[in-house]
Amino acid sequence: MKYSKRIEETLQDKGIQIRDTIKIKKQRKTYEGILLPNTVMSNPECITIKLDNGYNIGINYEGVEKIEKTREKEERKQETRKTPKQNTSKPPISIISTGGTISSEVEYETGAVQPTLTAEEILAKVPEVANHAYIRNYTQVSKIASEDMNPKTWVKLAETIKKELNEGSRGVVITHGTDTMHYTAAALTFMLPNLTKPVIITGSQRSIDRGSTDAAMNLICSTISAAKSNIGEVGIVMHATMNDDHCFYIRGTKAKKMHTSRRDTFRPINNIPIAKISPEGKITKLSDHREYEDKEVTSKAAFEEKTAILKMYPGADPQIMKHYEEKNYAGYILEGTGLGHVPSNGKKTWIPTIKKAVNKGKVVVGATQCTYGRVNPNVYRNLRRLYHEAGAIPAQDMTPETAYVKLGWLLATEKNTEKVKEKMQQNLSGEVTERSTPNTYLY
Amino acid sequence: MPNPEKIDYSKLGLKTGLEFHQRLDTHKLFCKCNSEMNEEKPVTRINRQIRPSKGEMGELDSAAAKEAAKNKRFFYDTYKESTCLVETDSEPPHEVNQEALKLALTIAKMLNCDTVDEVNFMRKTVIDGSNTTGFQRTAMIAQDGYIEKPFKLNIENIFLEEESAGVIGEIKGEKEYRLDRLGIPLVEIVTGTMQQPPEKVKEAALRIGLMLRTTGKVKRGIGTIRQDLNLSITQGNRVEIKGVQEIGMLEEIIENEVKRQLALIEVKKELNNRNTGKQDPEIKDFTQYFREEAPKFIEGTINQGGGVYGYILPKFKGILGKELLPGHRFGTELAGIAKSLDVPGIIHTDEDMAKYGIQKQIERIKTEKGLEENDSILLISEKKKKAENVLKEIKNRINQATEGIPQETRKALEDGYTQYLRPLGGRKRMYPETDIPTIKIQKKDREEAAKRVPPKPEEMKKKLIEQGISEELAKQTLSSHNLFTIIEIIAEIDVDPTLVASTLTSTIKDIGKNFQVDQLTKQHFKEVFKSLERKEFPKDALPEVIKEKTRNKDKEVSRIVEEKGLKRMSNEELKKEIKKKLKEKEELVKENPHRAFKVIVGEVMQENKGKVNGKKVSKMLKQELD
Repeated sequence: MKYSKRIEETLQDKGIQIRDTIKIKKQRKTYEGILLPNTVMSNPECITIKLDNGYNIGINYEGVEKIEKTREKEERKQETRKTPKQNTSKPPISIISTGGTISSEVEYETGAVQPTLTAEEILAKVPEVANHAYIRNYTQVSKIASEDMNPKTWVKLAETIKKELNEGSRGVVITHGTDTMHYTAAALTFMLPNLTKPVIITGSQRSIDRGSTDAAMNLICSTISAAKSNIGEVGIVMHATMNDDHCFYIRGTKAKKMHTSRRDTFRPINNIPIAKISPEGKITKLSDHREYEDKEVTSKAAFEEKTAILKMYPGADPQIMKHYEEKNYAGYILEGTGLGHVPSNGKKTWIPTIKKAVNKGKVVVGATQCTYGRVNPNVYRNLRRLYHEAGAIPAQDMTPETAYVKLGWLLATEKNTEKVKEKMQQNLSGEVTERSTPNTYLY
Repeated sequence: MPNPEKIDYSKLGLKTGLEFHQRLDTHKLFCKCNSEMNEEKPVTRINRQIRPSKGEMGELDSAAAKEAAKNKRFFYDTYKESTCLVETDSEPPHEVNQEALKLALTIAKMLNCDTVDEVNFMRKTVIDGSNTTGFQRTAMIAQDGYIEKPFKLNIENIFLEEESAGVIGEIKGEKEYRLDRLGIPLVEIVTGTMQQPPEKVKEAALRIGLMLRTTGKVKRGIGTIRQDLNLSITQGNRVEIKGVQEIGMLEEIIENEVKRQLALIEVKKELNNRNTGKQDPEIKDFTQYFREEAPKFIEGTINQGGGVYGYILPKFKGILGKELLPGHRFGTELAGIAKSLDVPGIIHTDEDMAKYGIQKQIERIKTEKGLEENDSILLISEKKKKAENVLKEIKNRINQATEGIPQETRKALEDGYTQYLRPLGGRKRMYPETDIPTIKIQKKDREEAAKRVPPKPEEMKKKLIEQGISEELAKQTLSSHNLFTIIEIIAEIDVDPTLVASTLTSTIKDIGKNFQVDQLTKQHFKEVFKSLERKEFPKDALPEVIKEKTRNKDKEVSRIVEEKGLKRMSNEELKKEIKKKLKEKEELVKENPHRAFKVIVGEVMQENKGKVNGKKVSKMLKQELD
């Protein structure tokens, strides 16, 4: 952000640059401090300076009599970070960064938070990571916040992971923004179908520049999971509780971000965590999983981007789906109500539109917005109309997010639509469970 | 403390400055939680680690403090009404509390300060765990003001910030905090430098405290206002003393600090006389001398993998034991450094070794290491790394003693002494709080703040006197925590102003000795006086009603009156009582009517406490006797 035009012009006239020390005379007062850039959070008509006592204040430009430069800016000293010495006899792992809060850092003077940290810089900030693993390689596949994550990056990420694991890493730790982490986790699960090594995705809810960051423990537990666990699956490893004492390793296809700001935001849905990981190195198994094996990793990385999630709600208009049909979408996840309903009667019934789409060869999958539980195609008449007559496929106990990723992946990798429909209902990588056990609710 | 010789502060060049931290009586600064701190049972306890990153700690803390801060775990108790996800650092701050901001602007205006045009909240790094975020949110609100009484004193800055969490205790060196205090709005006021004797500094502090109270919106009671003191003398150095809880202690603390600095100048002279020079002793491992036989506290440390480490300090005899203040030796200063790094203390040979039960071991060390008569030994029983850390800091402190007094931050103790806390912070590490938008202060905001400025204390006093309150009681009222309760009750309820003022100043003080009067709010007192206005009980019963109210805040006054039998006695009942007494004292009445009158009034009053009025008893008795 820039200051207002008149301020920018004055600064330019006086040869004043951001970070120069300036003196401002206004009415009977004089202010002296370091000129800071305008931020999104502040008013462009107020000049922000950092006073000698460290505080920032804003001075309204209106009524300013004089501005002068009193000292040239000092070149900012780059904080030198020592990357810890590595012990090559430890289990080799790779760290891949994608962006997000975990790799964001605040610029101390301006307060701007930017996703600037590389995996290597993160290691310098959390040197304990080197106690558990030898970081064979660092890669950065993107520098994007999680809301900007996209299927193309998933493909790139899957290929990078395959390369790292086949070139000698025992496991991989991926740093990722948290908002869409569970989508990426599901995508990687499907795109690396024969995986038998730990692929860990982690992030943070409090940026790493804060004293209270959750990134440190998340990274340590992720490293332990990648370097030492006997788990051969994609998982999200983040805080299990509000405390800084252990993390959960949650199956990539069964995780969901459940809270906007808490550290323990990721919970298993219709599942319990695979393991509990303590930052001291203890791994406690909580449920069955695919075992670690040193086998070649293959990928099947592709995604049909014409896949959409449509949410059902009172008043939802089937015209919405017609619009997508005009754009020739290939598959839909209907985030239905309850057991997997869509509006089925009256003017706004979705049934005919769905039927039409299915008849045209589209794949329509019914999931639930309930968060927990399984879709049922039989219990009510309207369910039978949707799943038996109109031809929608029930998503079983997959979250809409996982169902979306699975469908997009199947549509891109499976030519036969009937096969896609069949596989949607089968368990390929732990995304569909056959038994709903009571202990999985609100875990 | 006895003070035989008067210190000439102006000759010593005493300079002081004050910082006030006043809690505001509003909800919390960045969430809607209440700030009452009256919940007893925590809902849950969470634990966290704070990881200070190198850049953030900056110049604030010594290398040793950074080391000590590593891998520390902190415990936090949460409460139902006074904590939410914001205090646990699980949710970003909400928008700033407008009431608190307005109050800060009002205070700025009262103190003749210029408010900034745009308020920027900052994060000030805090690594002791007292903020779950690892930083304190603070903003500069205004600058460059002054007060005129008791003398012209500049006000440099006013800040609005969040209160830290309160310490509950420690388990095995890990601190426990309660989160109900975290986030209560604080106004910080920083004065300019004063060249005034301690009693004048105290007067200035009292004045500022009084002005804050006249807003009617600051918290009252112990801990709700804290003073930090900056102090220097010409030959000494600048020291910041944190956390003076009572203004009454200010004079004593100043005096003690001046004496401490003067005594340290003596230590310096003595060290220079002895020509000790810069010490660079190596850290010695004395553990072997304690392996066979050691007192429990040392044995325990050794069993846990620690040991006994220390220095041999040539020509130091008598230095570590030198008294700076009664009972406070140079060794106490060094122990303060150890304490600041979570090591409970040090042992040195100017102390009585029998106290620790280690005479034999010390003698052996002396012989085997070939110590001279004038040499000293300093010991720490700890884990090796921790001991080394502390010993390095102690060595620095000993070397500073040859040069004079180090600049440092100290902590005020309850006995009027102070203890080392950390080196004096340079520019504090601060960076913008990016979760809170900046706040523009408009002309309108300033005008409104000006309108809210309360009358000056003098004017308030004048008004009280006009209402028939004596000069002395008006003065007491003004400095009372209940000032606004008194003013409001007088304005709203038709009762004798003097009775209200004396009840809520001196009577309350007496009751407070045995009852928890602090629990009663303005509303409770209003309820009591409204009941009095309705003549539901005689005014003599006021103390009884208030006492009962402290026992059960929610009990209605009418019920208290009923249960305690405090109802005003009817004229007939009283007449009956008096007649009964007259019969009892028949003889006395005949013998000595004058004395009998007194005795009867006294006994009737005593036996019907709170139910009768003295004047009335006298009047009726007189009628009876006539």
